[in-house]
Amino acid sequence: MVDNTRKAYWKSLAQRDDGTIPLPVAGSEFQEVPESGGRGLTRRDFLAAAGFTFGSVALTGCNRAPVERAIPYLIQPEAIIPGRATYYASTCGACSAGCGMLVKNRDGRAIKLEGNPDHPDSRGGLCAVGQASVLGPYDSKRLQAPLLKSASAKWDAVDGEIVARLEAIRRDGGTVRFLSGPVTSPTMSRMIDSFLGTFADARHVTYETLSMSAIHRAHERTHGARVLPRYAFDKAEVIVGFDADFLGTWVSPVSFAAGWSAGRNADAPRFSYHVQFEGRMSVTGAKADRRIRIAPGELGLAMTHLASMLAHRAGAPFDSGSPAACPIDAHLLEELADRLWHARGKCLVACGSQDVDEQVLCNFINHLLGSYGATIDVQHPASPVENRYHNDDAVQDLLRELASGTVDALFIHGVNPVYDLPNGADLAQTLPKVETVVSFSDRVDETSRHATYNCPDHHYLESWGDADAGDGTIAFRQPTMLPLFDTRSVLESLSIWSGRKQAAQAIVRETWASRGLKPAARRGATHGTLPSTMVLQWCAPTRSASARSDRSRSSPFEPHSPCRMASSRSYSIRKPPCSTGAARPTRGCMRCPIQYRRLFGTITPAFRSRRLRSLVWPPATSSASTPATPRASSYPFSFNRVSTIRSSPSRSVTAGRRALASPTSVLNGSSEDRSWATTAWWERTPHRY
Amino acid sequence: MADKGIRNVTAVLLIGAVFSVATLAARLGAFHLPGNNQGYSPEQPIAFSHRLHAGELLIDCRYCHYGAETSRHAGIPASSVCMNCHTFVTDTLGSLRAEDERAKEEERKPNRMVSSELQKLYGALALDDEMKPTPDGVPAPIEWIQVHNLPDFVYFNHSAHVTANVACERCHGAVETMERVSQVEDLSMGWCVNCHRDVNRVGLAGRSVNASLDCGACHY
Ligand code: SF4
Repeated sequence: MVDNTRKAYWKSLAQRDDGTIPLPVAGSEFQEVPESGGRGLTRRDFLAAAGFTFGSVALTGCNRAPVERAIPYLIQPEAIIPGRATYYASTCGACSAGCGMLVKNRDGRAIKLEGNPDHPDSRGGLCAVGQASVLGPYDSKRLQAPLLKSASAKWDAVDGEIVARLEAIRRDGGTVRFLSGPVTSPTMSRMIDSFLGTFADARHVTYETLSMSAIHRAHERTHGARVLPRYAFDKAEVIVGFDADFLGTWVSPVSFAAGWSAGRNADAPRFSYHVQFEGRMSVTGAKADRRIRIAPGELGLAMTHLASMLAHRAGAPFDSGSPAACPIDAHLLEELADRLWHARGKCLVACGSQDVDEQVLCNFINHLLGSYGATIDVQHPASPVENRYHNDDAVQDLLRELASGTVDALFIHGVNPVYDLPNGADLAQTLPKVETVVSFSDRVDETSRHATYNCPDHHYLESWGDADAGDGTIAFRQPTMLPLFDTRSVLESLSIWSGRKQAAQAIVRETWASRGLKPAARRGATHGTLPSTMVLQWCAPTRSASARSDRSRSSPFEPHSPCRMASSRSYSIRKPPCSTGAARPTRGCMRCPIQYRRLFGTITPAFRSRRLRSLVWPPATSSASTPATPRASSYPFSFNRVSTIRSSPSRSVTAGRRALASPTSVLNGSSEDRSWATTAWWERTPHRY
Repeated sequence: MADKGIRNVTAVLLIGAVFSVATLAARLGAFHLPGNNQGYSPEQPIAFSHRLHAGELLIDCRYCHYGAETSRHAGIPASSVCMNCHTFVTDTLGSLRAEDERAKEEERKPNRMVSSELQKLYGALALDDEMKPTPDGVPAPIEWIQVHNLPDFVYFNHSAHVTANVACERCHGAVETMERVSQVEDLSMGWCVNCHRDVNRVGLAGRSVNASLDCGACHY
């Protein structure tokens, strides 16, 4: 029964149609109310009429597209055809790994970077940072000219003042410091050394934001040498990463990614098993077979537990003290220890921690597993370039020196310590007190703001240079575009201030000529060999008689920098069949299924089931041959040493927790570490693998 | 009251209509749908004659528009390309002859003749009439006005068409008869697609072709 006195609403279509509820009259729902109120023209009618009348005026605008100009060259450069890209082989300078790359240049501008498949270390990969670095030259924040006391100046004026100042320092035997990131370029290294060599008291200090210092120092303790070992991820069957983002940012991500993916080939008989312990999601964790979330402070604890499990299996003495309970499921860790133990000699444990104790523990685990000599190479460490071994202690020493006011001139290249360092704010206080601060930074940043002279370096895409990729590959860097602004290569700046002005290209050539490498005399000869290194590319002079017949190969920048693409045969556009059809696929292209498959394998049902089976532990069939346990006597260092540290109350395994509590604990701990290290027990122990 | 209002409004509208018709009428000859530049024939900084160069002297299009076969752009020749000939040819044949005759009559050596248009070319390269660099001259490229201009949302590749034997005049008209180049076709999408359909049916230069009709072939 419907109550007619109140407004009723229908609740179903049947109810709506049976007529019991009065529905509003359809037509009257949206009633047109004349707005003018009277007869004749309503507001809407007026607008409609006016629209037609005046709107037609707008049609007169439909006339011509705006005038476009086509401005050709005055003098046609060879090899440049508008609309066609030129490719140059060069070397990535966005981090110290020195990956090879191909630079796509159109109309004189670098527009795209891709990995160079012929580079033996990076093997055609280019990481996200490298890819993004093509935007660097076009950054609107770049300094467009040198600054003299924060005011834009001419190079002559800046040079004049700096040279006069340096002369005074040379005369008075003053102190000069050169602060830089890790220098992987042999030429840069040589130039810094020869520049600093002109002063009585000069030192080169390096540090890196993503510091590897803890790894160096851990190896100094365990192996007696400050080295950054080489890691062979392709040879490892079980990979454990403790906060080491080796596919994303750790040490040399591109070459590690290539090695890692080579060990995870769907067609190969084996497929590595990868466990990642980390506190934040990284690319590496996302790619791992098992990702174990763990607080950064508990990393050391988990490693201690893993180490003691492995030491137990190896029958090696390891006194872990009485560490706190394992922060993760002990079964998981037991299973991992089992897997590692089964695959010993084919394991790789990587640790990205900044804590030396944790790195020592990592070395210990790797040693138990026989990784040294198998997947980790300390005999041929990552780079022969001395300055790659950046040293956090030396930076702190430098800061103390600066604070005490004993430094006369400070040169800062490629780093922003005020921003990067934990005690950068103190540095910001002391920098204005240093009499001469020269910054090579490409912008006014937190550090270079305090510089007396800003001498902006070229972007690496505009410079001559070289880089040591870390595996003995020396790769050269050539300008892929003309410098956009009034910047100057740091090599040239240093040569001028040393009193021997040279062009950057000549400086690079001189480095290699002095090591016995001559520029290729013949066009097309692009590879030369040095006694212990491989030379990837060498730019031959182009102004030869055959230049005209070789149009496509010569550089657009002949007058400025006679260089050319090292070998257009191998570096020309590679076009693998690409089913996406869109952008040109390259080996770094993750969007392209072909490339993706090459890196990560095809997922077929058979493969998937094999893969799933391999993830089950223990395996259905026990491994036929278990490698021999390393003999305790062959251990290069004493476990009791390690255990002493581990068990002492102040330096318990919760070292990681300390690190969490105070970001400078690594630095604070340094003096303790060194006093401990001065026992020099390793010097008595021969290390042979 | 209301009647007066309506009268006023009608008057305003009438005036508006007359005004807009007047404006439109003047422009009616140049009226085009947006984007259609058919008939566009801008005055160029130098009165370069395609009729003379391509028509009379029979210079191949690709001598100057050297990118047509290899690049997406046909390319506007650099001034250095002009100078290949105009280092020596400094004026029209007619005026050179006339000067010769006059010199013969007046029994003197003929003066060097440089046409006013070519002077602009030499000026761009900062050269004087004797082809010597002017001491304080600054070379500045010539800013030609682009005649055929496609919108940015469409990709066109000259080399794909030229290497498939599409004749230049099929899109650009009889350039060799034009004193000043004008756009002959409307370069609209319908025009492109019609041609692609036609050549797929009847072939091109005696060969069957497969001109794409995909949206993505030009718009991506
Ligand atoms: S890892 Fe290689 S590609 Fe990535 S930034 Fe460093 S040098 Fe460049």
